[in-house]
Amino acid sequence: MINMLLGCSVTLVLFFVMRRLNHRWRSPVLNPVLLCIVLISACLLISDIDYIDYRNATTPISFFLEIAVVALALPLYQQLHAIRPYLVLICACSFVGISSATLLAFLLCQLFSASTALSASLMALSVTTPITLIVTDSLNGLPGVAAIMVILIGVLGGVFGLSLLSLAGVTQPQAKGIALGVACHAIGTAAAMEHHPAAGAFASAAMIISAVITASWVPVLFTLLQGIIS
Amino acid sequence: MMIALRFIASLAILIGCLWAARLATAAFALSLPAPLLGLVLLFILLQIGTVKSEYLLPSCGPILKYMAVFFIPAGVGLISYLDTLGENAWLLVSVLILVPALGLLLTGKLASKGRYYD
Repeated sequence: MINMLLGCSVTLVLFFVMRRLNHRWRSPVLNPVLLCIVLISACLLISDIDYIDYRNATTPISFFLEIAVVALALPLYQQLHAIRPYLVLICACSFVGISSATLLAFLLCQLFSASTALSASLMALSVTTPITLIVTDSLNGLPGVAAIMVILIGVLGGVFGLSLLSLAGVTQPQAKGIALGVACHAIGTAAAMEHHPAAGAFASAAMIISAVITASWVPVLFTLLQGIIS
Repeated sequence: MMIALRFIASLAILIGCLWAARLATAAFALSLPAPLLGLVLLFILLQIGTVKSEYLLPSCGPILKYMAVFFIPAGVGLISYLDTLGENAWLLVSVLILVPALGLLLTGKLASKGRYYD
């Protein structure tokens, strides 16, 4: 009980401190979650505390992970009428984006002959972290590896995404928003929002639709791909 | 006091959807993740008007705004796999660069085929 109070309060306080820092120096590199993960990991390693103890102490926080996925229904509902004319397009884009990301990650894993557990952790990296964790868990992957990779991909997308899209000749803010929402989840969506309000609306819709597509399609695709190579 | 009650009531809707989804996935042995089914269920309830978005705001607002904090415990799990990370550094770096780049380019190109009205 004391462990739980301590684990949760340390995590929460650290998160809010990092959020304040992030607001002062607005930069995706200073991602609060990334900083918290690095700092807490370092503390656990230095003080020789087992990860299992920390995980058990923070179960109340992890409990909300699944609740947060359910809560995504609200923004989807709120944005539906604004994006309805583009719904098919956004679904098609998400499907193509998610499938190609999973396929490429799978090919890279084969190329580097990674273990099945590691491959399973790299299949659902372009969606919002709770979905990644749920998919990774269902494929028996390593959630810790998946979580850090997802956040790093979001940070990279937030920093370089818009320039890459401009280089590739994508000019409409709506298209940039869809791409950032599909490929770089919440951190990309935040970058899209700063870029243009329309880009932000399309990015958040694309992010949630991708979450739904990933959770239902990626496990099937991974099983199919594994069937092909074995 | 009212605020606390509203928060609890709206959280109860979310938990209710999640539990209903858990029951359904267990009963029908669905391979769909339960939280996703919960999302779909809540979305349908919102669409048909059983649940109003005002009911959900007190809990959904802060949960979505601070969602990132919920990933921290899972993320710290990487300390159990430091060896794996070190051994596969090149794979991880290539995934980190190539996967989002391909995703952004393909979706961006495809999405720019659309006609958008401002």
